[in-house]
Amino acid sequence: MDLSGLSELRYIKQEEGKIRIGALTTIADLEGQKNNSAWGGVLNDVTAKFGSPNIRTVATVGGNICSVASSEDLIPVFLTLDAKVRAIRKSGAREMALREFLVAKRKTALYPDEILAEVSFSEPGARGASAFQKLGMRNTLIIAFVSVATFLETDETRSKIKCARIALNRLSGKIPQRAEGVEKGLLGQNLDEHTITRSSELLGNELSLTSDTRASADYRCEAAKVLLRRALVRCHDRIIGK
Amino acid sequence: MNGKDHALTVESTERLLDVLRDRLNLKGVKEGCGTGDCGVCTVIMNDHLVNSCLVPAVQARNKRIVTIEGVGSRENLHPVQKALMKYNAAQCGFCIPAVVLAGKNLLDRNPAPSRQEIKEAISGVLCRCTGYYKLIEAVQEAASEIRGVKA
Repeated sequence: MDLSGLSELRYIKQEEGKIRIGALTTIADLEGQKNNSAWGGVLNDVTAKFGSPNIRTVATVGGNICSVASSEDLIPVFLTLDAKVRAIRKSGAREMALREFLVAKRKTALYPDEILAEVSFSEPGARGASAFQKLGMRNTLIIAFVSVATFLETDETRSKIKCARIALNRLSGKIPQRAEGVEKGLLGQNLDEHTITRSSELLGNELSLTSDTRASADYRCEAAKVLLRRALVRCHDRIIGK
Repeated sequence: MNGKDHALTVESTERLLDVLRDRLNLKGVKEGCGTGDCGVCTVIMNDHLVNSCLVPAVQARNKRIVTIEGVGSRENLHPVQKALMKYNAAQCGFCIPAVVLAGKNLLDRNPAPSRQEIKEAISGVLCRCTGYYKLIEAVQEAASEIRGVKA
């Protein structure tokens, strides 16, 4: 079944504090966001290394999410934005957290007669920022060894961390995992070099890792720590740079 | 299709790649991996690059498609084609139709690309011979030629 003619499912809307992205929005449609917006920067991070220009022309947000083959770059990003998804079928629509939508590898909560219609998330405040980092053999057309998405929000002074979400992909051949221990450890801390370094060191304790043809578990662990550090630094810079 | 209309009835499972090669006899479109990884089947669809192996033929309805057969001619080569010859950039030649289309599509939008922009524009096409260096040089040369002509 070809859904590509449903142009009403291809949009990026910003209204009433929500960002809504239609499931048939292509990755190319997501490119070129304002880098300094709390969510535009992370979409630029992810689209720049997504497949290749040829792939970005046809690959869709909904397709990426529904594949859940453990290599989808958008999933960790949307997890850290605490995204919701909207599924529709003839008898009506329902909304659920993306986290609940992802049941297992290659399995979503969609019913057989249902399609994904939209991904949405609350627009992060002025003191929030997201970032995405991915490491692979080359810069395009790769499945990553490891990818990391982060979201941070600080208090009014832009120094104390008020909210932290971290999602990692490609570690274990399963669906992306959140690093809840590290997230909790970040709360109330100063957003500085020391905190970022400590989070990166602690990350190794809570990862479920496997080796495969792309990378060993040990390598993945070290790479995840470095990518987490880079992503947090990027969040810091985006928050401070505003 | 390369400036001409074609009316075809296609099966829902047919790939654009097969329709182009087998039904419209456009053999300049090559099949490499057939799974979207190598990009040698690249064509331009409504001004964007696509891997024709990943596009169901039905999605090409009412679209403008350009293949290598629609770029330049033996007597009047496209600047990217000329530059690829000048730099001896084609070795086995299998990826070259895709490289020409990726280069042309970039220069149509941006006649003064940076080296990085050229790399990104052709990044969806794998070339196992050249190491890309000469391909990038050639697209750069074609860009200056296009700018020269325009000036």
